[in-house]
Amino acid sequence: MRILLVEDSQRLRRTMTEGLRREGFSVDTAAEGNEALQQALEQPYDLIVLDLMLPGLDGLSILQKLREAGNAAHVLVLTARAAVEDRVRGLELGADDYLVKPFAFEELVARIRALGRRSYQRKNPVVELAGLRVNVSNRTVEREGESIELTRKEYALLEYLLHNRGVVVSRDQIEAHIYDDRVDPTSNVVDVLVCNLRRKIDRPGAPSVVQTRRGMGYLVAEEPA
Amino acid sequence: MTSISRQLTVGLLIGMALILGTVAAVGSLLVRHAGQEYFDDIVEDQARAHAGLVQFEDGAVLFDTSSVTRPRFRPDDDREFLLVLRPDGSVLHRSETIAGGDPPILPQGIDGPPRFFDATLADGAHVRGVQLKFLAGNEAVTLVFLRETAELRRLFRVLTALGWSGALLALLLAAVLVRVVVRRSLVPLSRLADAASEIDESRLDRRFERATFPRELRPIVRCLNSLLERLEAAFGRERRFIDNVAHELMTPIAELRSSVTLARRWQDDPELVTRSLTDIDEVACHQERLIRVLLSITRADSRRHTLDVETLDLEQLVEDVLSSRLSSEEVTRLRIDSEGLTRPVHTDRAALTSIVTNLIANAEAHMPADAQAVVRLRQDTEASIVTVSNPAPDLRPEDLPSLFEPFWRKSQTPGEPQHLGLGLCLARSLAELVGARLEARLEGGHIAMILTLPRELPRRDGRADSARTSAIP
Repeated sequence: MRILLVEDSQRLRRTMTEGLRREGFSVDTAAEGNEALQQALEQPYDLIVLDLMLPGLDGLSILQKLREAGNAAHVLVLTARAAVEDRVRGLELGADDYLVKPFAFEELVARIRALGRRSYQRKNPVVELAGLRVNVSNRTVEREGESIELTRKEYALLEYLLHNRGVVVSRDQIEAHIYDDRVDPTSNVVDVLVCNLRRKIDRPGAPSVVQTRRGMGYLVAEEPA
Repeated sequence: MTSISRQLTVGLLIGMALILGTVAAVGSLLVRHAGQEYFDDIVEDQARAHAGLVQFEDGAVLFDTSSVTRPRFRPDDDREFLLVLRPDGSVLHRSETIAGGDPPILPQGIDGPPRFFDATLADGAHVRGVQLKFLAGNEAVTLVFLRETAELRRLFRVLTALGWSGALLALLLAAVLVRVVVRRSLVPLSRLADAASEIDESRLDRRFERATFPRELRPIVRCLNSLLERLEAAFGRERRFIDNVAHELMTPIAELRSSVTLARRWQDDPELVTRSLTDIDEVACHQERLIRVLLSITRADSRRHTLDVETLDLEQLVEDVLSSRLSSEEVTRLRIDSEGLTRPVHTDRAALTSIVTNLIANAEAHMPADAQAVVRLRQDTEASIVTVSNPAPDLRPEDLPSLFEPFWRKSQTPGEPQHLGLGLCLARSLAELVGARLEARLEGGHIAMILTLPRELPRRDGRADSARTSAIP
């Protein structure tokens, strides 16, 4: 899941980014309102974590402009103001969730994951496919009761493909959602990642869960052939 | 206080009642007077007509009774009476209707003006009489003509009753009219009250349309609009302050909690743990500075700083502040421009140093990178003035009232957590504490902070408490 973290506090931005990346999210950051709006309009973020008090353009204005522009990314508002009317105003302007500072980092991660599930209209955190059992809540993958160890990126790729089951996703889409803007666009990092994932999750000799569509991208079919 | 409507209604009705009562009473008296005069004329005419019947023949006074058609008695009409007396008081003629005793005879000169009088006869009848005294030949004859006034009195009673009834009816109609007029007149006031009652904290941007109110209410409407403007500004300041305080206090706590979580969760990563601890230490230091400055502002605002007044060379003090702040590469960013200060100032060194330091720090922090701030010092007969000016291309005139608000920043530069947003607020609080004045002016894209130190600064000793030893940041 690719996240845009908009927070003016340099220190909080850094610690949150580090923590979220360690949790397996791809995180881009912005510290100023106009910069954040531009980024949010240019990149296909799954989620925007948005502080309200920002220099340049405040968070509510960003939210309003995003919705006016038809941007449907989930927005989790971060604010120091806990008054009901403030929350209501934020939600009315199109925020999906609201977290009041100071917050527990674990709660932030849980809410981000909940919004991620909502993105794919999935209430049940467990996805089962071709003998694989993926729990998107605790980020575990099992095959026939045996745990499979995936790296954060491998897991993120699997989750993204599962969320888009039955749909061909391009390398660019995978890059946009799995990697943040630190990745080199000319690298074959996606192909390498897919290869590593297949090696870990596929049954030996069985057709791969992740199918290649030449010139188009990758696909996890509803029921693998 | 009762309602205006009630007061106006009652007041107007009392006024109307007094006017109508007076009109009715005076009208009644006038009618009575006119009726009386008319009645007297009739009585006098009758008396004089009968006086013509008194004759003097052969040395004797005679009364021609053959020509007397009146007085007469008719039960359905007012009775009339006639009495004619000789000079010796003996009766020359007495009408048959006068019974039960003669009317009183009043002293009167011969051919004098007729004398009118009211009397009550022995049978209880009220009469109006006129007495004439005239010469018949050489005999002085007295003639008294009386007429019963029952009809006249009845007429007076009817007229009086009509008058008062009319007044009462008019008062009732007036009551209805007054009520309607008062209500209609007070409609704009009710409208104003309704509109005012709809304004709460969330609708302070509303204003009353002056043109829709009557002229008498427009000054009130103007005052209310002005009050709403100030209230909206005050609420805006309070809201910004709450937002800023929440942001400035809660964000560092969020930083602390995030750092602690990261360090706990990935405690096997020594680099991360070390960085988290460093962050925690920095946040603690930042918060300590913040709290110290907030305490100083609170102490200054509540006059709890003890001032240690001494004689100071202002130019030297400013130079000391500049030299303590400037690193070698920053020298070109600040310039001092002194116009020959000759008079020292008498004030608290720590407070003045803090004010100047904060003004210069503010200029340094917010002017463009290639710009230069100027500190001007000058004196006139009344005051010593320190002006710190610097280019401020982003500032707008509407920002000026907010400059001294705690935590207000035109645009917080990301990644500069060392600026608390309290410098100007503290500088103004300290300026007020030492009796100086600090104001901001924006001209030609330059912001000028003007500190005016009056020649005679108040020597406030402050309160002797723990604040005596507190340091001013």
